[in-house]
Amino acid sequence: MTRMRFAFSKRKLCCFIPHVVLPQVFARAGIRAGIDFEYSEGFSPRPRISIGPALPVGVIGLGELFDAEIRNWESSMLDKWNYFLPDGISLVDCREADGPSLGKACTAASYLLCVLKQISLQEIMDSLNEQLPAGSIIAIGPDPGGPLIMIDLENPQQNSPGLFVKALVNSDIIGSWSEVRIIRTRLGFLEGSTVRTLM
Amino acid sequence: MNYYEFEELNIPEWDLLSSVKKSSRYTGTDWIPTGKPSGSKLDICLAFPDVYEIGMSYVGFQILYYFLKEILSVNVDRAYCPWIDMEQKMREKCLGLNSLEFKRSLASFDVLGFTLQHELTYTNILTMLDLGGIPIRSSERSDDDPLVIAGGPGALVPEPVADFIDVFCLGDGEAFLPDFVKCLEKMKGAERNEKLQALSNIKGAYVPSLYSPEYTEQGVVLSGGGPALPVSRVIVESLDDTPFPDRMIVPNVPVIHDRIPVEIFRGCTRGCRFCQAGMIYRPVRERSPETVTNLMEKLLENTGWDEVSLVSLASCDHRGITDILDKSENILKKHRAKLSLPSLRMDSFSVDLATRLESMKRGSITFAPEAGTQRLRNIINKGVSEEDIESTADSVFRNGWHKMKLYFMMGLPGETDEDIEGIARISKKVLAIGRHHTGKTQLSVSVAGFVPKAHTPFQWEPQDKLQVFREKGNRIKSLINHRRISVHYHDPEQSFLEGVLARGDRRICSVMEKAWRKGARFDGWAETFSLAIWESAFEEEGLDPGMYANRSRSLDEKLPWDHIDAGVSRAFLEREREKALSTSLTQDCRWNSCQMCGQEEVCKIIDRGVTK
Repeated sequence: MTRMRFAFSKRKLCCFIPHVVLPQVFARAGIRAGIDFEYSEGFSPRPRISIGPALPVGVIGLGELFDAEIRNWESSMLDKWNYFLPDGISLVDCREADGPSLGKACTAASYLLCVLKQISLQEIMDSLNEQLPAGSIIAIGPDPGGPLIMIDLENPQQNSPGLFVKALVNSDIIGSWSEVRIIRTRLGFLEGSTVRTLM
Repeated sequence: MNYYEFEELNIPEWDLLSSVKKSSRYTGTDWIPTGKPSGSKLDICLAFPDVYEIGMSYVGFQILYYFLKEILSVNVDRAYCPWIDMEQKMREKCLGLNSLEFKRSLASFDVLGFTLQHELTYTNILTMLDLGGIPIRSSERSDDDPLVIAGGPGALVPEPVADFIDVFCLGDGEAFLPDFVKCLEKMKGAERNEKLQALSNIKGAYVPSLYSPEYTEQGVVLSGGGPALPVSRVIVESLDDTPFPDRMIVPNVPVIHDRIPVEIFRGCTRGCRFCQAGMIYRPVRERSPETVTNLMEKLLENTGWDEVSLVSLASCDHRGITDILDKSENILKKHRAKLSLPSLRMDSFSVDLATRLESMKRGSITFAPEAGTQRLRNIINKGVSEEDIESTADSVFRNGWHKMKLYFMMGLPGETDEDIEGIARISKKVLAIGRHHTGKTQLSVSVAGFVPKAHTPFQWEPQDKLQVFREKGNRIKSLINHRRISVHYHDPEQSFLEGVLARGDRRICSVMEKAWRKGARFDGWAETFSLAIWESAFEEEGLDPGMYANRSRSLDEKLPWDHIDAGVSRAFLEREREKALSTSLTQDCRWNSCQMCGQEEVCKIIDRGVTK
């Protein structure tokens, strides 16, 4: 048995698949691909798959993580598994997992935030700085790639990107989720002032 | 990172999905097995007039999708009805309804095929047509619009939706579709009227626009230029020789029945006199245990699902059910999968089967005694005795279940006060038996108002009025009144509308359109249903809904579904009605002599559908 760690992206309409069903999505696709999972004990045995910190529906993920215990792992299986996943979820990387569980190991995350209306980035950043829990923001600033804000947040288990939306709604900058796009670019840990991936 | 790389920013429905409930039902992220590339020029969209989670649980679409794509090489897609919040947003943003897989406008298909599973989904058909950019009335469609067809049990009582449907498909899809597809491929580019004329000659096709109804003292009389009536249902003779998918569409978001459905037989000959399904799917045709277990194994590999459900009208009645369970044991173990039986008879054989199945042991176990006294159970030909109920309950609780569910009906023909009391009496007795085994016993009792259905021996009977249903429901509640028994009774207002639509004629169409324009949506859902809307629509059309639901019909009356031959003969239905009046039972012909239901000739050929 090998405990493998996978990085995956959650894109397009798959962003609307709820986090809680992701273990099932990976398990069913894996079974179709011929993967022999290790199963949990008990009355309803399930493949041992544990997903990293939750991503709310409607948020794009580029480097999401999960661990799976697999009995027959070979590197060629990555492509096959991908083939059986829905269009929008792809496994982008894998390695043998070590160290603590994902829940414990993921201590920081990077986000891009785009507000779909004419408003200064400074105003948005002020709102976030003011309203997000004290100490949760590691870094915040405009992104060179477009009208976006880059935010590094501590403790993704607790600090969901939903906090951005809550802050902006409170500041009357937006009315609801439909006026923003959020991308989680990386999940990992803090090294100095940089968020490093766990892969 | 380049912002402009994110295609998500340009997905038109993103804003809608961010602002509606359960957005995952609209994403179309199901796993779809790739088939061979289609050689056909025909595009068919299967349309389910309810939300995705319900439609995705329906085995019929798995069968038809596979059959059209793999066997008939047709381009096929699916569509479901958006919930009211989504419909409202779509209208605000002027967005149309698209198919799920290829996101194509419904209006761009050659054929839109609805399934008519339940009367209270019918207004959703109008929503889907309208949002899909298709005129809701058949008469207003042009040559460029899709052909709107409909199958399923509702197609055998077609008149209440006849103005909206171009062609009804009567019977098994696998028997009907080959000729239908061939005909349409040949007629590609022809005028709509020519297509309808040609299709009306196909076996099992009913084209309502070719006939017009006249409402006389004797009942409804249809006349017109179409082929001679009645139109008969078409069937496949052997299920073993009929393709069943060995690959299926697998949802990636939660649905109601999230498991592999393997259909083990079609039809039922128990002969319950209230049951439409038991009449209109005859004769019984079984899939052999070998075919069933082969399918089970392939589907476990190809879908990734971890549970298999053996689907039929009464799965314990399959002649080889024990054999199926024996043969599937190793397959299930190998795939760490579970098996479930969705419908159990009230006898110890069924409980023994359920006891073998791990998946059935969690939660509660459900049975349907249907009526509270032996006399009434004889009237409806439910072959369950008081002893059966008691021994089933004993066996259930002895085998470790704590929770049991019982289904009853109120308002059955011939019902007296004693029968209503009988529901309470049986419930209490079952509870007492349970408590003999465990102090934790919980009983849930569901009581639904009886809806007389077309093509059954009770098709002439009046339905109880709303007030009567309410009184009976309250009486059962107060008679039971026990903290270990929860009593639910089905909203009688919904049962009433169901009763109206279930035996309606073509005049219902205008009422339905009016009700829909006034906002009737998802009538089968308590949170959206409004009888008041329908009542005002009936009033404006000058029709009395009670005339359809609450009236006793004479045997001479010409009924609005008399032009549809569902397979059971009129003589059989009348005989069964007579026997109901004299409380005598009719035996199941699978284990007894033939009851001459009208399927004798077919049965001779298929050897009563029994697995050899």
